[in-house]
Amino acid sequence: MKKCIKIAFLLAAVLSLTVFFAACGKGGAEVIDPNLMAGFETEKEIYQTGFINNFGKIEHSDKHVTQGKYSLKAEVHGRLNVIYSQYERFNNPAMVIASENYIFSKTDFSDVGKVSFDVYADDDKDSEIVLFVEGSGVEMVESIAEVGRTTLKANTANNVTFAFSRESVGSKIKLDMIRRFYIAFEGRSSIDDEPMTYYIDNVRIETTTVAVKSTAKTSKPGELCFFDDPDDIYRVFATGADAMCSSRLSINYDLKYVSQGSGSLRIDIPRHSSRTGTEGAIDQTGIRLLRSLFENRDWSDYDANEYSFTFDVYNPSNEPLAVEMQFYSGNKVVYHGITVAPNSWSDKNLTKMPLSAIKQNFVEVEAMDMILFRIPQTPHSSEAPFRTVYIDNISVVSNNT
Amino acid sequence: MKNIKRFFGIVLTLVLAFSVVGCGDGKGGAKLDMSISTADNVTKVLRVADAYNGGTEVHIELAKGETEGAQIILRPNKNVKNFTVTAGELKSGTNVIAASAWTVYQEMYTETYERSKEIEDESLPLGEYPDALIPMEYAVSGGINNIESGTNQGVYVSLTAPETAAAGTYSGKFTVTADGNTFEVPANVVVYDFVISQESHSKTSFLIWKDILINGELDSSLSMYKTYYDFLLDYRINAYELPAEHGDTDGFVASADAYFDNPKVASYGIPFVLKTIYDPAFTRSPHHMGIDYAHMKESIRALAEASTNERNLLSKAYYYLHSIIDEFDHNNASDYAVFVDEKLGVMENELVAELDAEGFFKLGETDELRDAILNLPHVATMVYGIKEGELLPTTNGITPQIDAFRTDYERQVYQELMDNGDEVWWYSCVWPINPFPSYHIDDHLISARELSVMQKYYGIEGNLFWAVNGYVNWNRTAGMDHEKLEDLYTVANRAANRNGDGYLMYPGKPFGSDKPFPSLRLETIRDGQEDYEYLWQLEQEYEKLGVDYKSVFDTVADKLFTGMYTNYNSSSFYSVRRLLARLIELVQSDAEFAIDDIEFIKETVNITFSANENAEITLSDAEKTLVSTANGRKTYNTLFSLTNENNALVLTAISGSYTGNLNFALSGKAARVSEFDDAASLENIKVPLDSTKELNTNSEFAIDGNSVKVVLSGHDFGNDFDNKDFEPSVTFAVNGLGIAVEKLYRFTADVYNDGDAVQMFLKINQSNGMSEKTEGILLRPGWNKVIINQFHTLSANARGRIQSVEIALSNLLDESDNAYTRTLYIDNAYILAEGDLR
Repeated sequence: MKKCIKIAFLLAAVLSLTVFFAACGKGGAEVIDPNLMAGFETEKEIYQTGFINNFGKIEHSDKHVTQGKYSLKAEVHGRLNVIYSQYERFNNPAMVIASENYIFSKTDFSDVGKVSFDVYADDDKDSEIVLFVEGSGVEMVESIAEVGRTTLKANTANNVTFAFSRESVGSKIKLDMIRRFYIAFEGRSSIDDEPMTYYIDNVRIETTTVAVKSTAKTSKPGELCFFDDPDDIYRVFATGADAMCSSRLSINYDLKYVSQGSGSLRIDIPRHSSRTGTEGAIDQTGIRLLRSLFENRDWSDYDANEYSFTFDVYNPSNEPLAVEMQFYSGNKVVYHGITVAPNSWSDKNLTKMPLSAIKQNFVEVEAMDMILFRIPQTPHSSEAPFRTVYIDNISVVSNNT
Repeated sequence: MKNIKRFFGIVLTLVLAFSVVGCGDGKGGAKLDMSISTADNVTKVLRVADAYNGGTEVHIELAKGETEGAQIILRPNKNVKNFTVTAGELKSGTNVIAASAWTVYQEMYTETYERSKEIEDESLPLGEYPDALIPMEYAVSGGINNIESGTNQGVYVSLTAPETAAAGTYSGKFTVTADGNTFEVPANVVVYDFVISQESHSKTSFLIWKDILINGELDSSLSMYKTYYDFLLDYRINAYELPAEHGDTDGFVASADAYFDNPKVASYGIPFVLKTIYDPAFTRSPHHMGIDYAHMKESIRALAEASTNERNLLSKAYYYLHSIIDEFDHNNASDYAVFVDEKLGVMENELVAELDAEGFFKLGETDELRDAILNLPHVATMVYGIKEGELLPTTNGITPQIDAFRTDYERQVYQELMDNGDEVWWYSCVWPINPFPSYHIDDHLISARELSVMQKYYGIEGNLFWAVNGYVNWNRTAGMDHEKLEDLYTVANRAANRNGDGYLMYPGKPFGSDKPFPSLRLETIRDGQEDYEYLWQLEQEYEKLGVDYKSVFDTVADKLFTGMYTNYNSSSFYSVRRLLARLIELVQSDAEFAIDDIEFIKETVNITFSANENAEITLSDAEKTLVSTANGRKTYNTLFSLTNENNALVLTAISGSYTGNLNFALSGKAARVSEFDDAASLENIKVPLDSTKELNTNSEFAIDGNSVKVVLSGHDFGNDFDNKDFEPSVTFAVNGLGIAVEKLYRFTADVYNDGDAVQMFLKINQSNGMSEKTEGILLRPGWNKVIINQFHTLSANARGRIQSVEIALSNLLDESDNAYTRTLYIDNAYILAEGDLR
């Protein structure tokens, strides 16, 4: 009996503390289902969810519920007339679900195979939705990676399931330091557009026991990125556009557009969607090289007076193409611009950028922390909504080559 | 089985027992003791603090059509689970103000865990400050209407007197119900006999951050923005942007058209659209972020086309391109700001030429619109204020931070711009901090109110505040956004470690309201905006009669602040409001009484006043002299000595059936420091070694009789530290002159500067060796009336230790550290004490 009383006291203490913290404390996550990231069951959960870029209006709803008693009704507005200039950011209206929130707590996503959610698109037109993930980047800065994008069918309950490509995401973000997910919507493209309405529910993960495939790669001498391996796609970032208008990157194996090896990088750049283009517009898109490609290189092998950066660009259009390579070290930047004639490869003599020219500005090439390729956006054209460019053979070569 | 039941029984009992102790609600059936006190609306009573020893009744004085508040401070002796406060009607004889004219709010508290960065005022403790004002009905429905035993719970009561209310003194009561106990709090309200201007004349540009409205209201749509915009109008505040979608020119013009006639709308920004630009003309950075000038031109054109000369929508419009011109001096972007302003000028001229070509400006009919297009103010913020040689984008709309107006010299710079017809604005964003006026939570509330009075007094056209709805933690980023707040109501530090910066409102949605809630500070800002209107109305009435209002304004300002330093004295403040109200009543009455001039001369004050020639003016304890009769008005003069501890102009004005009284508190006692008429008087002043003093008998350099000639000399100590520290000065003893030094509030002297303009300051020396230095005053060449009121910035203890004051200059050294001299002639040095009501 004494033992029973002791146990009773212990249980009572534990239970009462639980009651106390539930009633009085702010407490941590109230985990209902370990894989449920967001269910929008309580107002507290909704207030904890972020909504950015002039998102619109949200409220609890008992319609189109796929988990629990409520869904989240979102009337999505979005920004109008924005400038797409911020590096690696997007301007689309998005909801932000922290990886550690009121009902969910997980930062290590190395065992996650899928992310899914349900969206009822309560409109008469299809729309695109994109899932991004953000966390500590492999390059020590907060980074964003796209998990997937899909088209939501109008007036339909859409189950959106994206494979969580740990190889793709992990090339940019540390998988054990994931902080938040962004579900980005199209938003309005003009003032005359009515806001779209969605019902969102049941944002969850699905774990996997399959090991992560290694994407580590040792560059050959001189090579920075040849785009022969499908995984080379993870060694570049699309920059300078919003989520819905970002450049689409893919590996091309049509040898017509390959300058060395078996593949090249194809960049489909959306023509500017919101304006008609005016004098000297410099809205740019482009790619950024994964820093580890040049940061981990032993530059002592390369005498700055004898070597140059180089790359090949193919311009498949009937108009000239301006391409600028930008080498950054902190606030310092060295530009190297060329123009590529229509339907031609770039002139190898023009694309060379001597390391000595960079050294003059940076002191040492090792101090370089970013390489960008910038391509001006061009006015919108209904006939050709994208402008395509191919890049290959980004390398360091001898000046005598 | 029995054992099991018993076991669970014990568990259950203990669970409940532990839970009650944990949440601690302190039940009890005994009668509740509650101490109830009242406070004015410029006092912050902290939650966890000693019992507030205020008044016993709610007392408010206000004009018809005005909103004014007060506070009831509840302090129970045991925990209160539920309380509510309801207002009753107000009665004055047969006149009634309905209970619905009151709004009752429960004050919510926000804790300052750290003092706002760099604030040194020890009278601002850490603690739980009242800020959010939750309408009582929402406090009840939201279940926050409880009070912890032995703590203060503020209730803010706000009264809007109907414009049709009869003037008079009203009585009423508030009923406090707490856990079944009922208490009554009397209310006493004085309604002044004038209607406050319903039109706001102070321009404001307070920014509503549309994007982050959703964090509080779950809604960032245009509809919610409009709710916030309209809510601010109730507080006589204009948001920067009218309700319209970004980039929607038609929507903007429709909104301008809809709001233009709203008397509370004094100003609106012309929205801009950002655009990346390549323009080689800006050589430093040809590629840069700019605005879409074509879009801006389209907006201005549309405003013009929707206007008439009589209803000129451009007259309230201004540029504020905050995304590209922000604190341009601090950001080393003066050249870019200039470049942008020039482009705006080109755009304006192009537009006028186009409209001319289209025949828009019809002969002489639309010149006002043409001028409006070409003279749109360009609000351009800067941190440090205009410095010599500063590259300025514009002078029409220049907007330095509030503390850039601190010295006489600085204010003179802006006064010259205003004299040229330019608009000068001021703004706050993180800075300034106490002792300058701020909207920070851990600052004296009265400074937020007096800022508007300062604005009117200094002729500042507009007031810009960077964010009213900071429902976000700007101190920390979270990915592409800033961190969300842990709590929307109780987090004080949201921006730059300044408590309360970046927000003045609270979301209503979490309480089920479709409108936001105000803060105590927002109420105070409205009060200040209404004080502004008191001054505006007095100015208008005086101008109609051809009377100069400046000396009244000077006297009022002198009672409230010095430069940009408020005196934090709420009784002075309310006496000034009462005085202004009475002056408005008197000038609007049949007597048309006005004060033309107030001049302190040595130990006397000379007052000139005028009234309708049929009015009878009777002075109490003073004689008046008729100076002139003209234009149906009689002008009188009275001179009386400042020999009493309290000196006031007390008079009665009678005209027909009208009788009005005035009791204008002027000052305390005056005392002569010296008139320097003989060599002996020089004994009481000191100059440093290299400087000299001598009696001057040349009447050219004396106001009357003789004066003292002081030749101040610089000194090279051979090191920068001492050279910078040394300030040649002339010292006057001010103790032992028959005035208690702790009441000292003004030092005056006539000073002749025999050289170029130079900044002087007054050093206030104390018996413990400490010395306080006032802000700079510009000594222009020739005679200057030096008036220094900045004694109130010293603590009460320090004021009690005052021994002497020094007229000081910075060390007089040229670029090669060679000392030079500056000759000053000083005459008529006097000190003045404050009266009971300064």
